[in-house]
Amino acid sequence: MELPDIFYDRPAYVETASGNKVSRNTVLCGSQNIVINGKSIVREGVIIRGDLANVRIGRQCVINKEVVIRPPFKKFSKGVAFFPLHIGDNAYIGEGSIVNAAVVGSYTYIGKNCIIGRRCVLKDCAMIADNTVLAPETVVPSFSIYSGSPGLHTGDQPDCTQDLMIEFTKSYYQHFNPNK
Amino acid sequence: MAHVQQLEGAKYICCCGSLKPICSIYFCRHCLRLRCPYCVSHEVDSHYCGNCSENMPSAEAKQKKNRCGTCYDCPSCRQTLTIRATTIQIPSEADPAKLAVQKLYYLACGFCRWTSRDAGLPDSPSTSGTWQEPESPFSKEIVHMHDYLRVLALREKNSKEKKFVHKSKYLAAGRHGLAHLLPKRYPISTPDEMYKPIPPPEYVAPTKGDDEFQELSDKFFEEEINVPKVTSLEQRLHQLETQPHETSALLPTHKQLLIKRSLRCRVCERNISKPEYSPVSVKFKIQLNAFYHVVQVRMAAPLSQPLNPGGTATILLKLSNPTQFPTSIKFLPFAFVPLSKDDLSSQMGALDVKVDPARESSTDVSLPSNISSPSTSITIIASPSHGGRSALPSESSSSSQMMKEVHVLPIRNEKFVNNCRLVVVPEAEVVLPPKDETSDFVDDYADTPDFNDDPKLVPWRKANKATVCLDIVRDQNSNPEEEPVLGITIEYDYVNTIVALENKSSPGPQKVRLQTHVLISLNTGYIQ
Amino acid sequence: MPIYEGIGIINEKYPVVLEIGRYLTKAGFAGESSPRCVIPSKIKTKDAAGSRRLSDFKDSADLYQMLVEFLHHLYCKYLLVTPKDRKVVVVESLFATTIWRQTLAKVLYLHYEVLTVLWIPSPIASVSSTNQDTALIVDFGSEEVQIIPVFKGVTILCGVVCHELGADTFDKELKSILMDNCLNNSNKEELDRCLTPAKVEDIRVRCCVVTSSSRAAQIQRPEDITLTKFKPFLYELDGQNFLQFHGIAREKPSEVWFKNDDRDGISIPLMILQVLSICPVDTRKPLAANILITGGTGMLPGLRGRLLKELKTLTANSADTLMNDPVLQERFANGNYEFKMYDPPVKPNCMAWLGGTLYGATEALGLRGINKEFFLKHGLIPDWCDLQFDMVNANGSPVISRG
Repeated sequence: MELPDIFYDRPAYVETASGNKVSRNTVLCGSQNIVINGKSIVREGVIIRGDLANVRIGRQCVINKEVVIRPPFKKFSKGVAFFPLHIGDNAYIGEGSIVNAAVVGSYTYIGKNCIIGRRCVLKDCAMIADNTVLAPETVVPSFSIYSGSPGLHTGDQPDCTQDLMIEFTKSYYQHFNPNK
Repeated sequence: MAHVQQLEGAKYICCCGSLKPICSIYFCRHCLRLRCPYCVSHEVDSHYCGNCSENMPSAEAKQKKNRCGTCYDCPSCRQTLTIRATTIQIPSEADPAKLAVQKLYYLACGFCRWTSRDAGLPDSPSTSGTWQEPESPFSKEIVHMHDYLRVLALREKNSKEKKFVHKSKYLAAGRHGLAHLLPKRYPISTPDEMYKPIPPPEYVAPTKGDDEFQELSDKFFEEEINVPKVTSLEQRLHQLETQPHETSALLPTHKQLLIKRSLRCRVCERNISKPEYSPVSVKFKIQLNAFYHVVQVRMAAPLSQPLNPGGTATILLKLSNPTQFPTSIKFLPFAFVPLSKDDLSSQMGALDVKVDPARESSTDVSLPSNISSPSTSITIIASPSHGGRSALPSESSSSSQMMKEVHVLPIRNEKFVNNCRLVVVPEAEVVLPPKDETSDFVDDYADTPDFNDDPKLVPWRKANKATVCLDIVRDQNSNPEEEPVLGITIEYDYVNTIVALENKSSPGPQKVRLQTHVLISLNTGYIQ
Repeated sequence: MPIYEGIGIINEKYPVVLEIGRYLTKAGFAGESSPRCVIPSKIKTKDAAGSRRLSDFKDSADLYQMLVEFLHHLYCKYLLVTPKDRKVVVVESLFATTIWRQTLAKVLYLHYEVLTVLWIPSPIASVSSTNQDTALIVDFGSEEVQIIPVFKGVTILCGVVCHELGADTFDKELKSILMDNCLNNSNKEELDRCLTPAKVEDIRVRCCVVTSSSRAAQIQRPEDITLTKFKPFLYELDGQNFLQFHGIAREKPSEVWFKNDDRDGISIPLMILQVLSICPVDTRKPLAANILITGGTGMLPGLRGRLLKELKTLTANSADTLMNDPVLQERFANGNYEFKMYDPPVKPNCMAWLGGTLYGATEALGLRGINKEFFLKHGLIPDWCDLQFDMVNANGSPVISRG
């Protein structure tokens, strides 16, 4: 089944030169540290904490409503330091998720209401099912599906996940249009 | 989920009869057939650890029982343990009066807060510190048992094979002078050896009476049981050697490895999917997923009204061509015949080669298309550049291939429901251009060549995709409880680049016309 | 650890040892001391239940698909080897149904292209893991308790006795006792909902024990219950909710094995005596002195001591008739029998598997295994109950006799 068309109010979103569509209703702290490569969509209610550390988001990503993107921290003997957070290309983050990961690989799919623990590493083409809670410092290998709380390896993705995600995020972007 | 769910509405029928969405099915380029994951044999390519992403050679994996050497699993919640450091102050070696700082490491779980100290393991001075592994207390006895049984089995084997040294030892010695070698080659099989009594086993499980196995004492029942401190069945089953009763005896275990698998077609024994060696890489050396080779069919929009038995509707199907060559698609009524061993002989008779005079090219050799054929039937069209008859893979190889398929493949014949059909089978073929990687960078695909489409059949077209408008009707006598499912067969061109390389006499890639049977579920709406 | 670590052995392929039970499957490699994994015999499904037991198959085609999927999951996730061309040892129950055996054979030989499979009945496997040849096996399964005598390596088939006293019956009994004895919640419907089969099994594994015979006698007499001391225990449902149960719930369910007033008075000690009386006279004493308990359900604390004590009481030379059956009374109640139990090197739930791995590491696999050609030629694997396979030819391979 094809994705349905999603329409938004033209003034509610900012469309940048590189094709990013960012909602005005988001909280982007430290926006000078946030880099979003082209053609990504950031929907309403998203909070990106660029004030803690650098946040780099790749091309064609889709960040759904009410997501919190927060760089992880590490406790040292001399205090606390925040690590940069990298999100790869063509990633999809579902509604209400909280992402504290250190690295979210390309072509990953994160479901709704997930909690990605701090300093987690999600490799390329991984998938996190809806309502998963990932323990801190979990490494999710490529092509695996993690679900449950605590998140455990429960399945495998098809081999063509990379192209599936490319098509999915591209089609989401194409169907995300302003109200006429 | 959504990226896979999109494709689950349309199920392709594999040669064995199972139904799979396009992303889970493979296409064998040599047999020119669809293969589901059970029609291919899986082989282990390489082992790697999910946590540290390190490859492990197979010999090492075997020795370490398929477990990573450095990563540990929490025994209570099965998450990966992290190594944490604490510092203590101990008298330094150089000067006992001063206190030097030393780092000690312990394992801790981020989810359930279990630490290696809970198991009573001392902190280790090094990061790769040796934390105790659970070991069976009877491992030596089991080794003795193995040895003993080996001796027994060897003796049985030798007695069966009767490799006795012949009585004509004298002759043998004289002929070849190898008498000194003969007895040594068969050490246990000389008649004297055979009848020697087997030595008693070193270890025998002891039997104990009721003085040693005692009932639970009354004191046992005076203590209150603390249920969280008792291990659950799952925790015990992960530590099989000791299977402790208390959680304080649970030890961390090494993390299990993951594998990279390569797939091989069972019929032609060629590789279908081969991933790259590196555990971090998501690319494939060989990737013949149907997603990349077979025309993709799916519903463009869900049904606006429920379709009742006897009702008609108009649907929009979206077609997409993933290959590098243009293809022309024709719709046919659903013509799938399950493959079975009984019908094979009758099918074999029907598949005699006929030269079909209706086709334009005189060098065509085609399987008669009016006979319904199992899964993908093959019509071979000679490449137009070459005038005469080219060396085509002959009909005998396709029939022998079918024979082999029936015997080798597991015949599944999954039950499916097919209660809708096309009202009118469109005569016109829909031509789809090849997939163009650069179309992303061009916003408007302005120069779409004109394909002379009937606007009623093809309302929309972009790059390698097109939507097709079809009228369907649901069977009058179909069960109203069932979901409406449309079965169609699509016939499309496939250009086989592999054959061109192998077969030097036929220049240019070979164009083949393939049929694929698809079942489209009309009700599954897209779930956001 | 595989036993020999010589240079050539690194490249040797160790056979896979499988024991597919009704509830749990144990899988591993030959030559090791414990299975690599013990997983439930279930496959995942996409419907609401989430999983399906292998034993709940509808017909042989359905079972075939389930077994293919299950073995695929086993090989790819736990064993991590290519199934093709690797020998397999299957430890199976004596009473495995023909449809199950033939379908498993088809899956192994045809789908996974295994060369040779050695089919071992579980009593033989359990006995070999003691390194002796005589044992009276009491197998506590998930459905029933089977008592199988094996004397000098020969299974005395006529003496096999089974009764439905397995984990399922135990859990049913436990659930009804828990429902009646909950101290902080008396709402029966709510309790029924909370106590799912998984939770009841968890309570059985963690809390239940087999009590001493003196306490058991008191539990049976309602007037004496108040005299015995029971400590209640708390069971956690989730982070906030606890259920408190009366301590009797720990001890009473296992009485189903020792005193059954509504099941023709059958109990495990009586079953043992029944088996012994069917067996030939000369085998009785050796069998009685070599009792072997296998099966995961039989790992409850206190079982061995209690069983031995009950047997001793029943066969003591006393004037009272403790047994209903006069034949048994006459034969055994004379104080002459000494009952002893094995103390094996592995836990009871892996005993049969260990026997399989011992056989798998030896030449027996090649000698007694059934290879693919045999299966393709005959379409069947030999079965002890199939009279076609009554004869073996000179080199030990089974021969089909016509007629």
